[in-house]
Amino acid sequence: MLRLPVKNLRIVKLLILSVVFIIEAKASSDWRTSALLLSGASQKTKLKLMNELRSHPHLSADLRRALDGGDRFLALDTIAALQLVDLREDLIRISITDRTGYSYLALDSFVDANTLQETASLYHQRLLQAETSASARVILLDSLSRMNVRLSKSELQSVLFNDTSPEVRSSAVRYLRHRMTADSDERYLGELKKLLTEPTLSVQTLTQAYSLTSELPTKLKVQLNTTRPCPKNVTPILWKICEKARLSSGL
Amino acid sequence: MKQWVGLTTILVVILSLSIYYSKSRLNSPSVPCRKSGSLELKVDKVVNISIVFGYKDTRPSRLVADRYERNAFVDEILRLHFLRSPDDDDLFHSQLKDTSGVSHALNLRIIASSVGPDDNENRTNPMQILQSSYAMTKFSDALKNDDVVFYIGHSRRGGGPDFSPPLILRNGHVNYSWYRKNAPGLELLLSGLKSSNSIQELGMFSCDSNPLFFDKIRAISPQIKVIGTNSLVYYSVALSDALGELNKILGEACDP
Repeated sequence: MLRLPVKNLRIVKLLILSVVFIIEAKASSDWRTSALLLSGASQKTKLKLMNELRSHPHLSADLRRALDGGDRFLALDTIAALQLVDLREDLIRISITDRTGYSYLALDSFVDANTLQETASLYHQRLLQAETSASARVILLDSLSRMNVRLSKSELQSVLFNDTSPEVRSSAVRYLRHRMTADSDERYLGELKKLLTEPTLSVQTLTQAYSLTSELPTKLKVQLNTTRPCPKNVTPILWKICEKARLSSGL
Repeated sequence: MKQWVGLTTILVVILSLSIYYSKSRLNSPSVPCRKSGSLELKVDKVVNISIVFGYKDTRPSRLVADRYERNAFVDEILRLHFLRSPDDDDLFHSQLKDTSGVSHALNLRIIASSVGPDDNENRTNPMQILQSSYAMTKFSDALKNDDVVFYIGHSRRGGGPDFSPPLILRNGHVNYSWYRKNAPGLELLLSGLKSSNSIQELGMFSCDSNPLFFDKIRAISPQIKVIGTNSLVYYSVALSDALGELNKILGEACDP
């Protein structure tokens, strides 16, 4: 029997380990090649790529593994594109600690008449949890707005005025716009009035509030008689767009 | 067998130390102050960096994602202990120390182009026109006056940086031939660079930015550092590349 010196034996073992690692990595990364091409592809190419992905052996297992690793975003896009409902629970699991909130975008793609209520309830609950990141709260607010979920007055006031993240406050103004324009919901006039007068809010928030006002019917505008001027301690372009929004608001 | 256990243990220890070291650097209590990495800092100079996210539609789908990408980016910036401006939601402050220990104020501006995640809805929201105008003007101003400018968005296949909902065809796809022919974003980029006073680095984190724009940029600004891409870029890669490049510029956190 051939006996290799100990040093050579170690090298052979390392080589075998490397080959096994490369083969495993290649097998598990195959889905990525097709998935990467999905964004920006024509409809015809997209269908072809999706068929390729669906025929990939162990796709769900690979994607499940990828959700906890560096290919998380690509896995999320793939799950959404292929509508892999069997991974829905995995998305809910990782969304708890997902600081970007992108897992909620993938979850959004599963929403239909059957899952709307359950998903809306989960999002509502997560929005109010302190450990949910600001980026995730923005996506949750956007989704709740699209799902026509009605936040209570105190919940809306909390995200509009007390949230520490300007991005969340901005998304809350978007939510308010949706309710006041698309749904003609007039009950939030007090909140809009506060947005137009509260001196601690940023110029961006004030601009959004003026822009929203410009979309309201006159009978509502007349109730918003008090406003705040656009602050001048910001860059000229920010002041300019704020002024444009103020003038278009008719206030 | 013992050899394998030993090798695995060493690997685990190295990995743990790497993670601990990188985390401890990010969480350093000495900030907001960083030692300059690759920027040339002149005396009494305020350093201005602008990062502008273009309008990131996914046509023919309706999702627009630049707000979300910006938020993920801001989340990382806040971990570097930048302070937010109380008056301007897009402005972040820190300080840079040059090699002789002199501090320079650092203003970092991070701007998104869209006002919501739905392209159809954005097109009917009057705020979208204002936000697009703001993002485009700040990008143009930054090219003229800032030290570093990053663009993270679509290349519109040669049309250049874009901050507005795209022109689309009846089938819902972007009208790329119009963008290629008219190239409004490229014109904006090049005219900004022509009037530039201080730019040292331009990052174009958009698809194929090197083959599409590099030569034209170089012809106008041969002296600046240009970061580009050579292929289609997945959004999370563009984000992490931009963050990595920003980290190079910012260098390391100052010692306590």
